Amino acid sequence: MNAGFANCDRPSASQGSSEPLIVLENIARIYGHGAAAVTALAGVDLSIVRSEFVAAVGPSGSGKSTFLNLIGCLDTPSSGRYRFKGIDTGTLDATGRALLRRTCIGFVFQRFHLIKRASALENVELPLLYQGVSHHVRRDAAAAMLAVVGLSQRMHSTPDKLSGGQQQRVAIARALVVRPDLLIADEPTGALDSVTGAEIVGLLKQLNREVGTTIVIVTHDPSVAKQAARTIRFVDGHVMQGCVNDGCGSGT
Amino acid sequence: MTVVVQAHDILRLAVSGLRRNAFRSMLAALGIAIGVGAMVAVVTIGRGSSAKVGEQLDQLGAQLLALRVGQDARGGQGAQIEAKPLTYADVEAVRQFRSELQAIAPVASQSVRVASRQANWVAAVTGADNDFLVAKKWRLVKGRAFSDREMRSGSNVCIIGATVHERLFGGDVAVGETIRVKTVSCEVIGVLGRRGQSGLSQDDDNTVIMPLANYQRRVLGSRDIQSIVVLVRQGIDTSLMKNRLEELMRERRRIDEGQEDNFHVLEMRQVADAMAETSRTLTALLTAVAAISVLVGGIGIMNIMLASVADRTSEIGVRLAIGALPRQILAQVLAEAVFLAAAGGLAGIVVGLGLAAVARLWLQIPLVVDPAVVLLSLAASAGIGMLFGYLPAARAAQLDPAEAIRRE
Repeated sequence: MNAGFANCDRPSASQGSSEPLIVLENIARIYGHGAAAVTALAGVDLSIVRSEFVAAVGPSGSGKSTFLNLIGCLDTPSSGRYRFKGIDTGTLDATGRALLRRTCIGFVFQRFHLIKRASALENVELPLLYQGVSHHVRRDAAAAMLAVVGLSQRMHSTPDKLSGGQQQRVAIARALVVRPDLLIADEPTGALDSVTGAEIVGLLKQLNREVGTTIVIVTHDPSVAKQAARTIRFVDGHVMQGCVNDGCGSGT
Repeated sequence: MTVVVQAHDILRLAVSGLRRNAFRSMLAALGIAIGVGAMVAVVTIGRGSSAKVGEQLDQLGAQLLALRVGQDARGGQGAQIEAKPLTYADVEAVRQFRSELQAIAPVASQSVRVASRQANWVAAVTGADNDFLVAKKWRLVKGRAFSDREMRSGSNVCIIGATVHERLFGGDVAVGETIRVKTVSCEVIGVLGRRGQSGLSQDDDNTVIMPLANYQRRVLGSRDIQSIVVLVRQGIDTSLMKNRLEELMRERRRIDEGQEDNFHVLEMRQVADAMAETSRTLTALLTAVAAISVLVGGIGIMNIMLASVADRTSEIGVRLAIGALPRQILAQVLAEAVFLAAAGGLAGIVVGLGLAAVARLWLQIPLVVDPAVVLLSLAASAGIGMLFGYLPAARAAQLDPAEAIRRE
């Protein structure tokens, strides 16, 4: 892909030489104030290195979605320090976080969240459009990324003409078109049947393996979590550490 | 790192945003369209009527003065002072200004029934001389003016206006025919060109002009002169001439210092100025009302944009997550509002000019399309969009992406 735009594959001056991609130090996230305050995350320490494939699991309300929003720079912690690529994200304002997201982080959502009136191609182009990439360059990049996810034939279809699995493939292409360091997927198989879900997870694994993109997915589905190299289990805002592959059954 | 998005990309996003709810978008633009339409129509019609006054002034003569007995009725002053008519001696006295005046025309006039063989009709019958035609810049389309012999001997000849020509002869050949004015028969020697209705005078075309002496003797029954119409030479100030005429007449009519005049000098230029002023004031007032409706249209746009942003909360959250900067979201929503308002404004300009074109036929005024008015209306519409789009746009830009995405 010979794209003339900024992306995260380039070495960043601010990036530490061997520091993990994601470093969370005593991160807490509390919603509301006073008596109505709800603690979503209570002092999480965690790091994720480049090219990891991590699954975050846990019951509803355990804090895994909050964790995803925080590492995706969609949300800011109430306390603690979050370093992404060596950058202390606490020093960034809303625009700074948006600038980080646009080049370094891709998002895939449970309900796909494609722009309804736009074609698959236009949806995939969108992140590049916001980066100010010229029309023909982003068109080529988007078409190439759709080919990677196996949707070359459906480039000009709008989301309502695509199946759930196809829509999620478009969403993955949209997330990866900027060649991010990190792909975040919030229940990517939650709205799909098991066969299609398995295909999507397979695609993510393949991308992780071939492109080296770091992937963090939140899932309720144990069979999906099993595919990840490492599982992080959330319970009541805490992380049960040290779970590799499917060795987390004990919950210690 | 490039952070600018090409303007046409933002515009394309804005247009696709508006197309999400095309009907609602159209309604929002309608308010602006109506306001701008009213504004453009009012201003254009106002310009047209001003232009017409100017045209008439050119036609009737900006250099025209009329000396009349009695007070100027236009001020709404009290009871008319008993005024003796003008005399030939007064006319002779005015002739001392011959070097400043191009034409000096003593006139007497009244409404009289006139008849041809086919029809009869009431017209303004005027006793005058050829100077009257010069002063009023009147062209003959048929026949000729009065000869010196006719003026002196008081022959029974007359020149008829276009309306009289139409009414008495149905527009057929009139020169050489005889008409009856009151009880006097006279031969038509000329037909005047049509001048048209004017705001400055009554239907000038409904007229029959006879030699003054003849008119006085046969129709009026006295040697009174009602007014003296004078045409001031080009380059000489009409107000100055007006003052000199007033001075002369006060002296001749023995009006003491401090006593009210029992005559007045009408300055055509002033009449026109007063009319233009009235027209300007009315235009300004109506424009202000129309401008208020444009503002109301702006509030309509803000309302729609707020609703549209609320509807798209989730989508905006996704856009923020996948790479839109807050200021790009701001630009998109702002562009939507400006686009709506400008489209409304454009429609309003078309409608307003259409209304003015219709009014032109109705009011018989010229259509004066001022490009400045068109451009200003468009700029004002866009400005209104910017102003009232800002709040919704800022609201969209400040959305918390994590929370916005979850909203459906």
